[in-house]
Amino acid sequence: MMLPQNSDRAQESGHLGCPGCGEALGLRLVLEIIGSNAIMVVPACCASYVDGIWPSSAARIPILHVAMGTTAAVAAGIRAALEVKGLNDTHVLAWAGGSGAFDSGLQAISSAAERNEDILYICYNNESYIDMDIHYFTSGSNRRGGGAHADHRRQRTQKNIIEIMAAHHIPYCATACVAYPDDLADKVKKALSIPGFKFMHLLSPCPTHWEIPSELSIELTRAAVETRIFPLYEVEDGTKYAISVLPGTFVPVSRFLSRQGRFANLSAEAIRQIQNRVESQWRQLQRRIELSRGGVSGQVKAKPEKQTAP
Amino acid sequence: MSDKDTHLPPVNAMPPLPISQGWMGWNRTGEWRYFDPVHENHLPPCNHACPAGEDIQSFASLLVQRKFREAYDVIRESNPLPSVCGRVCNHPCAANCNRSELDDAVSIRCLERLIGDWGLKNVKTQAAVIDPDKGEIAIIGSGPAGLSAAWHLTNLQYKVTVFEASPKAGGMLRGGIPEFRLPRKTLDAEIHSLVDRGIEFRHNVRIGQDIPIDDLQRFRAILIAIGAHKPRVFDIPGSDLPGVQQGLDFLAEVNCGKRDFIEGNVAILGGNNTAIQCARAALRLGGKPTIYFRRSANEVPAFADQIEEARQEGIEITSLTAPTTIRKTGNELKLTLQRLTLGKRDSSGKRIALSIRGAHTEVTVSRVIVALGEDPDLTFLPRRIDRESWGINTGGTHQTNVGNIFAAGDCADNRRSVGSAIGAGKAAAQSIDRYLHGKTVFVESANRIVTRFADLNVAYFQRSQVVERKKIPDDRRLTSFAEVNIGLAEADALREAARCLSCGVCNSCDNCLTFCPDHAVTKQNGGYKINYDYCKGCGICIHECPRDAIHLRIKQVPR
Amino acid sequence: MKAKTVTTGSKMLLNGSQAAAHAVRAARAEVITTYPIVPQSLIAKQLLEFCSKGELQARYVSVESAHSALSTLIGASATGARTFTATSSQGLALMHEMLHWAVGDRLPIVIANVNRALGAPWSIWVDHNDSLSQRDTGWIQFYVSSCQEVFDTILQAYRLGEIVQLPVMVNLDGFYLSHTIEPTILPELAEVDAFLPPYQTEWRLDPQKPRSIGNLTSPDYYLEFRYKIQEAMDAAKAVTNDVYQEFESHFGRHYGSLDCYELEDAKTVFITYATMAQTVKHAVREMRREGKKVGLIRIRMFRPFPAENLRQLVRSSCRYIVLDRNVSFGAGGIFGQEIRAALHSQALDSGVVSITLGLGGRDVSPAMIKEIAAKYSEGEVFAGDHYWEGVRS
Ligand SMILES: Cc1cc2nc3c(=O)[nH]c(=O)nc-3n(C[C@H](O)[C@H](O)[C@H](O)COP(=O)(O)OP(=O)(O)OC[C@H]3O[C@@H](n4cnc5c(N)ncnc54)[C@H](O)[C@@H]3O)c2cc1C
Ligand code: SF4
Ligand code: SF4
Repeated sequence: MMLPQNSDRAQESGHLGCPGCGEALGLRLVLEIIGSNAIMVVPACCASYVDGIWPSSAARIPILHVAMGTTAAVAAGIRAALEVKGLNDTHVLAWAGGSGAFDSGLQAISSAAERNEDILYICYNNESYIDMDIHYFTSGSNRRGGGAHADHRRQRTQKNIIEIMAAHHIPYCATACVAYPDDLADKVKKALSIPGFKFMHLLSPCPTHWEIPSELSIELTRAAVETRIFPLYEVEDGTKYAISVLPGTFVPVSRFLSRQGRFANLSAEAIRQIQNRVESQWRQLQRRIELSRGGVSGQVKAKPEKQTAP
Repeated sequence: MSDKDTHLPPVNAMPPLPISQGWMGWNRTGEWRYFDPVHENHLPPCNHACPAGEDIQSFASLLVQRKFREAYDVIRESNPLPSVCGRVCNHPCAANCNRSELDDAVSIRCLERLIGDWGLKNVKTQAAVIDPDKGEIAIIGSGPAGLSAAWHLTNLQYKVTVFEASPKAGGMLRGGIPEFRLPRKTLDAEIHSLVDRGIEFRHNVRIGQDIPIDDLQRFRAILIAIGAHKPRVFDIPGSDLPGVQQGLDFLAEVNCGKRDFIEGNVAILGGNNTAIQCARAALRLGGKPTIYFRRSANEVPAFADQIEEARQEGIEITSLTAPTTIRKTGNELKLTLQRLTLGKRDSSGKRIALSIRGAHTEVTVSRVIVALGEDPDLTFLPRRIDRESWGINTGGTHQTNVGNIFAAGDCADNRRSVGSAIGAGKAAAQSIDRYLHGKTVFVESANRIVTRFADLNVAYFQRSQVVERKKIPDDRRLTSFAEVNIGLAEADALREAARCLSCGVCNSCDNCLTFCPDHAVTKQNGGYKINYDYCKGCGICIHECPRDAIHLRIKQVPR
Repeated sequence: MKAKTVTTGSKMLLNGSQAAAHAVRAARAEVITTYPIVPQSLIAKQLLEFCSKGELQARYVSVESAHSALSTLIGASATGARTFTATSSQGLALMHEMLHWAVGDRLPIVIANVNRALGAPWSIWVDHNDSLSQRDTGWIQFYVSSCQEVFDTILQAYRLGEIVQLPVMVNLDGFYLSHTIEPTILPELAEVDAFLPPYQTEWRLDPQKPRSIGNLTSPDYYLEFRYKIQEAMDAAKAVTNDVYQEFESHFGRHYGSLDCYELEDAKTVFITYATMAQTVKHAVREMRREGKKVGLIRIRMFRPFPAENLRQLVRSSCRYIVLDRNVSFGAGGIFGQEIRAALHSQALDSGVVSITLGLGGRDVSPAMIKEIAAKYSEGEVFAGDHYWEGVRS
């Protein structure tokens, strides 16, 4: 079987991501930092399709595709095998969708984190929350009718995965998103320089599920940060909190919500509640930052925002 | 077994487990696309607004890289007089700078001035290679229009001779604009660089007086760039009294060093640039000038920054007043002024100024300086040349109805600024060149798309404070002819240059490459290439280009 | 099993769990995971001890569930490590998903499953529904009946699995074997090394040769990959015989996939597996003394099912009583079905009786075996029928 084998990129074109896919983008950005000496584990999620169809793959590092809940466990196994073989320079990257990490995968993550396995676990979250949602809704006829399942899914507050991870006292966890590639790169580099279990929560836009025009992928992801719905920060050793990108201006949550078809049925009241929640979460985050500085109160001073382009 | 199956490997050729054998490159996802993103620079609004057509974005970015020489060359490609323009141009570029919608416009003229001054200090202009076969061109008038045309024609390898009535070149730059705005040293140096370029100047030759225009027939083409120097008629009782003087005459005297002390009040009549500069000069000579202007305050036609500078210097502008009579009493003049008000609109939409019955005032002044506007003096021209109310009619082509006679600058154009004169000179040069090569003459076209603020993705731009030029202290400013504005220090200029957003022009920020989920954008030969085999047409590159340098095109029919 | 003279090694008193752990140590497993469950825990304990004392140079990963125990091994094995885990009952049931996965990725993982009944209700005692429920996952399965066999079979499992690229499950009965001490011969490690070379495979995750394992596979290929698993299973039958021979030449102990006892003139033959076979053997010996023409076939290898071997032994004139410590509800004993299916093509299945007994650790005594022999050897029993023994009326 002869297939093209002539490129040295982190990720090959031709993958099966939708136009504007944030997962494919995020993976490329991450792989460009990680380099070629790495092994990746991918559970059931968009990435398992995006990578391509046998006999081809789009990634330039070996991938083991595995069942939904197993990512962290499999990654630990890979690390274990590398260790006994003395291949400690090889990075192990777990690359899982929101569901693989938030739902069934959480148990294995918790255990691997507790054992402080030397892996970098990145949950790229496209907020489809389980990718079944996409398939379910786009194929279903009562698209906007939103059955019980839809309401339940869409109105609950996403659990704070970083807090969960910080509570494991792992050496490093952070949020990141594809709209701030420099910040993402910095965090991946930092994570790779630290032995032990590192967790990153990467917001990845999904035009299909978010119901947005594909060209708005990045813009809306940026809006998630600017609205503080998705603050960019990091936590070292479960206690040292720091904001890595402080948006110049805080914009109302509606900037993020209103342009997405998936939120079309949010009432003004619901949006107001979300705004309140986001603000209270932001205050909590600030409080944590203060606490991690020894309780000195005061305004959060962030690193100056990185500028991608002058 | 279907047809399709026969192309697939037999079971024995497959590995024991589903382990990949190669990459997804075979999957030409470009087929998913229904439009093409295309890298294509658009025109920055500053460039569009600059009458000389300077590539501001380009020299700003070169400046950031500290490539002074390259920046100087870029400017001089469109404008031979950056040091002059950096000081006196009314900079419509800045008024159109997109950055002004983000915070403050880039201080473009300061950059231009810095680069121009750097060039004067560091660059010795080389003589152009002249192609004798191209023929000689005569230019009448050495104002900015004439100088610009001479420069561009020389660059096109023509032998150029400039005929100038005055003893020195420069036109209004020398005769009109005072030293406190444009030091003579700067002007002389910049004109000298044109001499270095190989342009021949014939001073003290007034065409039509010293040489008839017909004597210029040996030139393959003639450019008329004589400016507008004939003051509009001022005829009220007492207008011929001593102490009543035309503004241009006053400025001409001041500018060539005749600087007698002026005592008492000075009345300046008019609201144009001449009026403002007369007032500022009179102030420096000891007088107390007041400008009287017929129309309303916001109709004062002088350049806004000049009105502002005059006001800073304490000069009053009294609008809606018209002179009616001048009387002489002793050493003083009594000027009677009629108060006006705005009435109905006339056919052009302008409101008519009407006298208010009985509202007269009288002021006592030592001098009255008249600046009601200037028209070109076309008396020496052959009658067959077409005219317009403001001067020679070229229909925007810079070519008169007489084949080889061209015209540019104030004499053919009512824009009346240094920048537009320079632009016109350049356009005229191009017209002449095309005409001599048997092509239709150049018409300035606006067919390039201009990038406006709304076209930018401002998420990538941080707010920043403008670095503006400073002024000399008031005590010196009000009492001497020293240059008022101080140029930027180099470090400040570099900082200011970095504020340029590079509107419409790719500056290799890599955003398109970084954000392409399909790795379809690659760097190539210093630019970017989109691999249409894989581009899915998501449009992210277009949207995330901070500066509108990628555009959407209907998809080309596949190979 | 005819114990020939032992070439090298030493005899120790070990329970089945320790025997298993010793085998894993001798096999130099590189990555081991466990999650505790009764009655598997003794294996985990022994292995932990080996690892902590440095007697086994393996990375021991204490995961949080049986599911992760196998998942971790999948990662390790795909990276080219020799791997081991042990589990029981609920643990194995939880692993089910990943049992399939290991097969699909063709990873020669070895599991020792200490058989235990499944809940509900809770039971910690033996039956074989846990492992037999996994019969369609594609794992090679052995059922052993002595501590020595535990040890030997685990070594064979690595050899076999790594050749045919399939995972292997070695099943030993909870408590009856896992906690029962027997004299066990432990060979010299060098001898084991000679029998079992280090695991090497070209099909692994290797950054030098980046490939993706297990990604989306279209209908154009999936069928072929499944076919290849079946092929490997078929091949395993022949390879197993080679492995037995190699094993015998190294260690002097002979094994087959079936083990026969007193078959020659037998009129009634028990077919069974695991420790129950030891009980039956004892009963057969006694019945023989009483002049009864009884015999025993013990099935050691359940997957791939040794159908051909069985057909060669079976005669139509004989009655076969299959003792199943398991049940497939709505169908009957699982070994019974397998045996009938194997014999049916040659119409040899008419004398096969299937009996479910001993579930959840209910004792199966020699006396009970004798009763069953008496009850089912002749008379009105129908070959197609399935019977329960030991149910109180
Ligand atoms: C007082 C004043 C201040 C100004 N300030 C500004 C300013 O700050 N910024 C700005 O952008 N613009 C300013 N302007 C306008 C600007 O100076 C003119 O628009 C510009 O100089 C026009 O250039 P030009 O080459 O067409 O004509 P000019 O500069 O007028 O040059 C014409 C030249 O032709 C010569 N000439 C005329 N007739 C003949 C002939 N028959 N033979 C030979 N030579 C002849 C003249 O001696 C003169 O040198 C000002 C104008 C005035 C009057
Ligand atoms: S930001 Fe730069 S390119 Fe854009 S208008 Fe201003 S000076 Fe011109
Ligand atoms: S995104 Fe940056 S690199 Fe790409 S076209 Fe625009 S300016 Fe150029």
